[in-house]
Formats: sequence, C-alpha cells, structure tokens
Amino acid sequence: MKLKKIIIAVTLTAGLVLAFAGCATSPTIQAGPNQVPNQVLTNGIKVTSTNMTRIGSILNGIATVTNLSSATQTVYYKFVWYDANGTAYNDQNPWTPLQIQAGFSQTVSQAATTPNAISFNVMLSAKAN
Amino acid sequence: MKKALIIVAAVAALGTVVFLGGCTSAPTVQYTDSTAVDALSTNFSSTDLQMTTSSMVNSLVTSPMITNAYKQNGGPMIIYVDNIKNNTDQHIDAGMLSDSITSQILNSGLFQLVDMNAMAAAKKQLDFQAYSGMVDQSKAIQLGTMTGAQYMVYGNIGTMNASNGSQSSVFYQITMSMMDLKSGLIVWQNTKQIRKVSN
Repeated sequence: MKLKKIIIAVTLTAGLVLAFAGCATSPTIQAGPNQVPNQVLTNGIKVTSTNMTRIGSILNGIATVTNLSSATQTVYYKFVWYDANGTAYNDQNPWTPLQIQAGFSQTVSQAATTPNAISFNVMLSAKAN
Repeated sequence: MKKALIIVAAVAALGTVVFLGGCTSAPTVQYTDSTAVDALSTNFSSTDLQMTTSSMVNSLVTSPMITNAYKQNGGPMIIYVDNIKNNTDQHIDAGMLSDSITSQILNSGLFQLVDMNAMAAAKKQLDFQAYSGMVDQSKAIQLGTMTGAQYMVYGNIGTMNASNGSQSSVFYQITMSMMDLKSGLIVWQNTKQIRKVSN
C-alpha cells in the first residue's frame, strides 16, 4: 500500500515536471538555424522559427520572435556568428531592443559580416544586458 | 587641566580624521559587456552607435545592387568612406561611427578601402622614398601606383527634439549612401531611425 502511494507520488511529480518543461520560462533563450528551443522568456516572448539564407557570399540569419503575452513587450536580441571551427566572432554586435505588440510576431535578421561564417546563434533576453 | 584639554582635543581630531577616512570609499571600477544596452540618457550612446553600424552593414552587404556590382567587378570593390556629417546639437564622434562601419564592411570581403585620412602621411613617406636621396630606388615604392576608389560612402546624422516639461524625446535619423564615382549614381542608401524617450 505504501509502495503504491510512493509510485503515485513519483508519477505525479514526473508528470508535473514534464508539463512545466514543455513551456519552461527562462530569462534568456538561444536559438540557431532550424534549432528552435521550446522555451518562453519570462515576459512571454518565444522564438517561433529560425532560418539562414545566402545572399551572394554572405549568410543572413533570420529569426521570428512572437509575443505570447497580452501586453506589449520589449525583448533584447543579439546575433553571434561562428566559423567552421566553432569560433565566435562579430562579437561587437549589440544587444538590440525590439518592441513587439501583444500576440504579434516580428522577424529579426542579421548578415554575417564575413564569408567565413557558417552558423549563428540568436540570443534573446527579457532584460537589458 | 590645560594638558588634559589638549589631549581631549587631539583625540577628538584624530577620531574625526579616522571617522571621515572610514567614510571615504574608493570608486569601484569594473569591466562590463561593451555590447550591453546603454540607456543612461537620450544622448547618442554606444548602443545607438552599435545598432546603427549593424543596421548599415547589414543593409549594405545584403543589397542586391551591391551583390551585383561585386559580381560585375569580379572581386572586392574599392571604396572611400567620407566623414559622416553631424547635423545634431550633440557632440557625436562621427569618426567612431565611420570607423566602426568601415571595419565591418572590410571583413565582409566585398570591399577594399582607400583611407583618405592617412593619405597625407602616406604621401609624406612616398615623397621621402622618391626625393630624399636616402632610399635605395630599386626598393622604393614608385609614385602613381595607388588604386583609386570606385565608390564613395558618406552620410549624416540629424535629430529632432521634443519636450513637454516632464518628458522629452530625441529622434535620431542616420542616413548613409554609396555613390558610384564613375556615374555619380547612388547605388545604395539606408536610413536608421532611433527614438529615445526620457521621463
């Protein structure tokens, strides 16, 4: 009987953990090309898609950011580009404020300023860094 | 009695010095992320400079006109970056903005740069090599071999200020253009607008 109670308690706890993990909130989010994390910022902002296109010899990173909350929110984003060795450069890219109205999505993009770039990460933060 | 007063006065003075000394704290200095958001005032800040640079470089290197011009040129285009005019009532080091943009567009591999700001010093060195009689002419750089710019990049910053007593706002507009020096045509132009409000 006691074992049954323990099993029920463990199952319920695991279920709750999984349920929260599905919509986990986080102060920062990082997304890469076609790698969209299942996380929501503490102010209700989520990355809904990412993409990478080539314009001439330059790669262009694109991310769609959605405001799931019921109020206008400001989010801060920053692109970081990586070369084939995984070395990050272009680290002078600023944390850029972006205001999104409730329920709306906006697309942000940035070009790699070097032809050596092969991948990017876009970082989002609910607070100014 | 007099001696006791002197001792009391001396102890009081020493106590005051120690007390005030204890209140004085050295200013703390720490390094922070240079790309962090700087929203201390409505003045043109490091964040504004970095956002403007990012926007301009982004627009330039992804412009279809520039991509086509690069293809037609068969390699990097030679550009000259003129000073960015500051039409605001603020002291903005426009040289920092043009340096920042120049650094990033050079890294793109689409452009090579002619630096007119360093030309006077370069000419002095070339004159020295050619005319001083002190340089082995077989190793001296010959005059008249420099490459001329094909394109000129230039721009300006302007502001509009508004205030109602308790609230003030500053609207910045930064416009940059690239001119084909052969045809005189503008082949690229971009405008970055920033609005800052202070309560």
